[in-house]
Amino acid sequence: MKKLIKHCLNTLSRFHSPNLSPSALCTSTTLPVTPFSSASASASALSSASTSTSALSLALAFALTFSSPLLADEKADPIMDRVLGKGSWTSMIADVQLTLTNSRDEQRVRQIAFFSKDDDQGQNRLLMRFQAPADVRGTAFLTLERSSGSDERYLYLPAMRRVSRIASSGGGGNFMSSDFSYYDIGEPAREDWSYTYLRLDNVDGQDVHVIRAQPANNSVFEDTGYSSVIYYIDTTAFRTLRSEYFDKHKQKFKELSVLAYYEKDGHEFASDMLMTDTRIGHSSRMTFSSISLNNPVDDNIFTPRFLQRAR
Amino acid sequence: MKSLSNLFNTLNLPLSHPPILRVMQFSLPSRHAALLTLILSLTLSSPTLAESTFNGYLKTYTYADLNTHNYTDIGTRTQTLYQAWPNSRTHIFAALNYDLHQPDSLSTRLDIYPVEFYANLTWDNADLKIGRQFIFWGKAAWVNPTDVLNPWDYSRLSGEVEDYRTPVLALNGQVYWSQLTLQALLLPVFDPVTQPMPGVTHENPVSTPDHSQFGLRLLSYFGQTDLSLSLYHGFEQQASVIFKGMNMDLLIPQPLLIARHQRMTMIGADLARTFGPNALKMEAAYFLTEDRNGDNIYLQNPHFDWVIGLDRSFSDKFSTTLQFSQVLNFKYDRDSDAAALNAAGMSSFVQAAPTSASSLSAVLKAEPLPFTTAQLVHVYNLADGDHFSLAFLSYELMDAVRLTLGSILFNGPPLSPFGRSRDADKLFAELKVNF
Repeated sequence: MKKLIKHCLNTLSRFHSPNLSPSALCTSTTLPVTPFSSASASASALSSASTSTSALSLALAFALTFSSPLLADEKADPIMDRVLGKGSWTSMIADVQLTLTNSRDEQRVRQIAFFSKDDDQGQNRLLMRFQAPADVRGTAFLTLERSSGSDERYLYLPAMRRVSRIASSGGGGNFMSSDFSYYDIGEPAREDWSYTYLRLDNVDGQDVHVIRAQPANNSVFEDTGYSSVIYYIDTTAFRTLRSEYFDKHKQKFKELSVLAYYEKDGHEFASDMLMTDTRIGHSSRMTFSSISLNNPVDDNIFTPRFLQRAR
Repeated sequence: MKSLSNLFNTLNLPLSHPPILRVMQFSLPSRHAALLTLILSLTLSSPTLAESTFNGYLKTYTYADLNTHNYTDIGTRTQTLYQAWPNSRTHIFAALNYDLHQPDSLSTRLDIYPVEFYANLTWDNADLKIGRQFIFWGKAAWVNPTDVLNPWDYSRLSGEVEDYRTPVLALNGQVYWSQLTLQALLLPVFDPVTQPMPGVTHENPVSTPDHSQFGLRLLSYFGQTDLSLSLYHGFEQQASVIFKGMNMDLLIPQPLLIARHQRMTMIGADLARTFGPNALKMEAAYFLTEDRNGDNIYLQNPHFDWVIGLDRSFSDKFSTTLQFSQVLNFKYDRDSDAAALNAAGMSSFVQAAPTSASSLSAVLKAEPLPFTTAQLVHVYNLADGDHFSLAFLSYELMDAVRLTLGSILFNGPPLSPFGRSRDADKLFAELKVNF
């Protein structure tokens, strides 16, 4: 997992690049912008070729088929570069409300104090402390990002009175029993994924780029449990409006909807997200409030010893 | 030798939990009064009104004996948890339990006693916690050789550690330096959980400075590895039973037995290292006991306890812990101990302990359904084939309200550690409301 919570925010953030405008993106490839993805276009063209006697169609289909991966990358990568561009904030304090809803619409609500800060090497540190409900109050979770090897994770359970180093959960283990995985709330390393532009589409009246991300290697797949993720990215603001997550059987099993964005002083990220497990009907909503960016945060709070010391 | 001391490892006996107040009675031991005075002084020393919180829980519980099908305890526990921060460097923590329960069909009791009750003074690189508190050492699960501070109350096993471990009165100082933490402990009194047995007299150490206990622990957090070294000079939590001859005054002569907690020094180390979804945990401790030469058949021999285990997180909804542990007795001759036991007429009560005793343990944790957690703890002794299981299922009925159902099971040969408690099998149900 890389960059922890920032992914959840930054994946969905706007990165203002002076060199690349939305219109430039739409015209930077050799393919015309159509409501169809290049892959779909290729498939459609191939299909047409099999039934058409038109030599021109066949030639076009042939060309599209073999040129589309390169063209798709050329189109997807700049978009994802904008989407994944780091925000300018290095520390964040916020209150998080995590609402868990099961298939019978029963809800449990957790209130979490959230602290995040990059260290001198740019590695993220994240501390979350439960404030409510009362039976989990004081439970704290600390994650220290490590550039090599697995991230360090510590859990403090007030009932147990001790801090435990915990192993990471393979396969994108869930975050605090929610439908968000730890990977979902981390920022993926750019090189961990390869992106393919699929098509232009429309989500709730908003034009979106549809881009598929696939693990670049098996370890990424094992770490995330995702065979692919499809992003629906606003064509103008470059915000991810929706994501779909596919398991090892290439079946969609989770869906993320972004309900609100935080935007202030040049910072922008998703502040209200709903993740639904489409197989079991369970959903989790994560809402940020009382957000404070780039204000001083004591480095000492990101230490195992602090977990059991703080109120 | 271990055999006689194991006599006290019987889990089926009622324990004398230290109630502070019973119905129509009030008593407050002097050490608690002193602590209360100290905490109040710290609170009142604040120039401004202390920031404080008041929380707690209400828990209704029922324990049923699986063998007799009778309820062994029905009651309601209220815990009030008061915390105050008189200033930025002082934290007051006071948890009091009020147990209104029916330990048997004839009586109803109200027990009021402190759980934790301390003041924590903090500086940038140091803490000092003064008072009654939990101090857990070690990194393994359930079988912790270095976890020698807080006594176990086996009759109260449940899903919550507060129920079956008892806090200790301690001065607990910690100094932090980079990735290192040095902890120094002073425990002025020794207050074991004792298990009354017919014909056995307890001789607990008196609470004098001569009986203070000391501990040191150095912890480090480096990369994927946690390591600690520990030293403790105190008393064994498990009493050694000393045979004092036969009581010939009775119609049927009975052995005269004295239970006494021996001095010991423990030198230990523990380690935890993560490898992706796996965590390797090791813990070992050498115990230098009063029976340094192994020539007193009634005292615990010097011994070395170690455990190695692997945690595996298959997902956040399912994880396992598997462990192997072993106790090696030094300067121990089983044959001579067995002969001595036989000569003392004790062989029908206890058997000579093996030179080494190994066990396997497993902990499974799962979230089988939303808002539901399950846990299974199982310990199996290889030498005697006796075993112990604790299983419970907990469902979050609503925010801060939880229903827990569980069982505690023992099995094995009659004289084995868990086999002695075969009659203590229980089912339990708890409804807990936090506020």
